[in-house]
Amino acid sequence: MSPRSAATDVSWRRRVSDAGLRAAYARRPVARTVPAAASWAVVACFVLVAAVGPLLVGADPTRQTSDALLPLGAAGHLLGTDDLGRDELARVVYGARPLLLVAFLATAVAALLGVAVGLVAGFAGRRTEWLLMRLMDLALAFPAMLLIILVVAAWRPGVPSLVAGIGVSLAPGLARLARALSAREAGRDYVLAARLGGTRAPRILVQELLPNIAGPLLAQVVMTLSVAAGFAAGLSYLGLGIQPPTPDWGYMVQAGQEFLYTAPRLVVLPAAATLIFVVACNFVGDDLRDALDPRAAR
Amino acid sequence: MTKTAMTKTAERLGTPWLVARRLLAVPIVLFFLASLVFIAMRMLPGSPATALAVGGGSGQATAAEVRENEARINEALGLDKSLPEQYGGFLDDLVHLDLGSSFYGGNSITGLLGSALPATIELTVAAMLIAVLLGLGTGVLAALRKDTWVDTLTRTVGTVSFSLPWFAFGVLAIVVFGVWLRWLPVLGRMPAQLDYHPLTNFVLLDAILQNRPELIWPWLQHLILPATTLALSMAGFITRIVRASVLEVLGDDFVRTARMKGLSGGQILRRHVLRNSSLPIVTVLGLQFGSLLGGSVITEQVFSYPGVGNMLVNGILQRDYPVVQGAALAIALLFTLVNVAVDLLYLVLDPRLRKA
Repeated sequence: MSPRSAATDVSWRRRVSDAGLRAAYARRPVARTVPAAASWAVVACFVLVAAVGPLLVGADPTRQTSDALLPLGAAGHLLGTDDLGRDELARVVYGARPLLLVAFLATAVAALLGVAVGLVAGFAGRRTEWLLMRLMDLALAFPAMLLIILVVAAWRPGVPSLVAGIGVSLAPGLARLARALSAREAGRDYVLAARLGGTRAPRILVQELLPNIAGPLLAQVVMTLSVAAGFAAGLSYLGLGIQPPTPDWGYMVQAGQEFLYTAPRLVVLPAAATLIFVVACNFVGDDLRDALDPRAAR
Repeated sequence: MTKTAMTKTAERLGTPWLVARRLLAVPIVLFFLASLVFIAMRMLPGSPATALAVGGGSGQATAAEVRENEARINEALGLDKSLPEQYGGFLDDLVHLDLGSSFYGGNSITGLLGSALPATIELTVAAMLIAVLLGLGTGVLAALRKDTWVDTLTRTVGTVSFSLPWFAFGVLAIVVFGVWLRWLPVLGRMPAQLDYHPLTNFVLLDAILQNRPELIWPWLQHLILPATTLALSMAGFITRIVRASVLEVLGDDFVRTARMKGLSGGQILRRHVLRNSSLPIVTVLGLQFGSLLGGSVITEQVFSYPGVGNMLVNGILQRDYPVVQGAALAIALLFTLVNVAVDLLYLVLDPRLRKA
């Protein structure tokens, strides 16, 4: 690797042309800058904590005891206890799960819905395209947050409604990108060849077209993940996410605000955890986008 | 075919036609939004009547009593009618700006919005101002010091700031500035002990109209933390855009000409460079306004700020349909109007678009 700083080394980008795109993907590794590498490490840590952390802490995050509001470093409770005497360390560790779960599932819903709609819209006739894209516009006529809140409220607060609400509101962005890419590819020779060979449209879409636009799409999907994480955290803060007593950072912050002056750590710990995770996700998304879609890079 | 015909008509009629077409779309969009809100409201789980009927009395009500109460409440609220009838009534009331009244306490929704909407507008406008100032400053700085540590730092901070989750940053700001440093008040919009009789509910306007300058300082103190929390995500975007557009313009011929004419750096920046950045900035403000409104829902909750977002969330938690409906409509209305305003502003700022 060259001794030049990674931030200013753009030599790999100059090589980018339609033909050399695959080579460019291969030559641009991820995590080459300090913030990017740090973010990858942070996100990996959080995923690890969410996955195996609960096995290590031992304490039950929902067991109430009479030792309410013990301070940091109390015997047996490294991070103290909350107002109901529950172990704060266990709650912070377990609390990572809902946020990660909702963010990943919602992104998956947005990706499936958005890519499916976009692929078909770019490939099908004018009328289908118009109808599908106007449907997507409808979701954009509301501020995303309002749409999600209404979906969650109209259904019932919890993981399914949260995933559906966030997924639906983030799908249009992906659909627009997928439509543009699929319309561009639809005129290519290999698509024509597949058509003349008698391959049916759904098969062409999935087996021929999708692999050719997967890079830029995946990059956008990763960016969507950090947005989804932000929404998931915000909604659970409003009390419209995971319902208590299941520990969840957003809700812990809301409940902890009552004890701002007596036990600020009840707010600071889950808030800082959310903040670090969401910001790191965003850096990772940026980095992956640069790696997967060189043309979109600055 | 129809498309080319329309383009031709548009060319012949020019700007007034563009403006008219954009304005004509507003009622249509609003009608759709209102219908969606109506549908969402009717899907809310658990009838509000159940909540009222069970919770109303002291002690245990029998099942029969609950059912009887429920029927009486449903009748009073018009929830016993068929859905099409309810929808007709809803649209009729909407046209007359009658949004009903809260299930709890019976305050009229229009009245509640009258005090909540100005609070939210104040918050979002203040946030936009802060975002533009921060974004302009950091963006120009990063562009002028391109590829130095200042540039790298500014861009990193920009990326951090536009992904900050509002509630997490908001509560941390409360802990630092309100609890530890005790510099700023952290809850509400005005101190409770202050004798404030709203006239327009826009504090700045009221302070002028009622000639009470002493209102302004406490108001600003309460506004600064929530507005900054809300502004940071937008500021990050503006930093990026300003940096890019300044870099683009700096190499252009007209800047070189201006420099040769002997204009000072500051003059070039103001008259030539920044004027060219105004369009992208307006674009960001428009695109990000929806996200800003969404953020205000959360920020208002964090700071107990009595705006529309606060009204919406409390309405949902209490299953107060009319309150939720009114707040959702108000947010949708604000969003639509700002989008129209931004589109029209484009026409003013960029004469090239008038020919489109």
